[in-house]
Amino acid sequence: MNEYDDIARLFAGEEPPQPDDTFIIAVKARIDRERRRTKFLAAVSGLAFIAVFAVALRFMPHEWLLPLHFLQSFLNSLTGIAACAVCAMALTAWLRTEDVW
Amino acid sequence: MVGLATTGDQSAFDELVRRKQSNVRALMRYLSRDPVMAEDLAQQVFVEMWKSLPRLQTAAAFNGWLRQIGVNVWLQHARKKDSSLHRLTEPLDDIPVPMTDHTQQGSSIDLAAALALLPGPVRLCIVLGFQEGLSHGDISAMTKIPLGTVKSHIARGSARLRELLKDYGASP
Repeated sequence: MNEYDDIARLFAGEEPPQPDDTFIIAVKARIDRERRRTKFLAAVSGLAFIAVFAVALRFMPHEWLLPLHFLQSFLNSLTGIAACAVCAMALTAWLRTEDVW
Repeated sequence: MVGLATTGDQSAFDELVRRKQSNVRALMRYLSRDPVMAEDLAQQVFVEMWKSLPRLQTAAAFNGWLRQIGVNVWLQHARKKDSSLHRLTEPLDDIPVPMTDHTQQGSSIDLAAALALLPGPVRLCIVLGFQEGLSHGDISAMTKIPLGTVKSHIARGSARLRELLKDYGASP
């Protein structure tokens, strides 16, 4: 690398940025946002899974899934719908306490 | 320190950011043309580090691993703006130097400003070679640019830097 010694000296002569606490604070704020985003995506995925599962159970011919027949009946009832709504509200409340949104 | 950070120790992670921020910020400043964007990318490097730390195999590999994250973050950002970075493996026939106020006036410019005038792939090889002290082979392995192209980028980029910095105080 002798032929490049002059260029290497130029880089060696440059002053690196000094450590800065505001940089660390900015990184931590980004990580917090990233954590919240991850939780939000997990919650949305969970809700989507529950919704798809509930709809599938509601419309699937019950002889296909006889062992889950009680679930189908449950979802057909007003109690089942109310239970799903309560679960969704509880999940939303948890997300708000976790400052996800 | 690295071992503790991989287990999720927050204070160890903070200390790692404190110790490594100068290197990462310097790398991003040389690679990016925009100083504000360089700070933004440096922060992103540490976010990516936080995400990937649990998968780090050996603490001894930390510095190279962090440098690779830095290069990947910069490439991902730069590919959105610079089409030449989509074909990193191709040798450049010529190194165009955009005419800026500096070159038009023939005034002296500093190293960062001169680097900003080089095309992305050439700048990447120069910075990894001289700022990070990597060998040509290591640069090739890190960037997936063929070894011959790395050598060509460094030779021609160095020549262009000498030319651009001839009026600079510390110039060769």
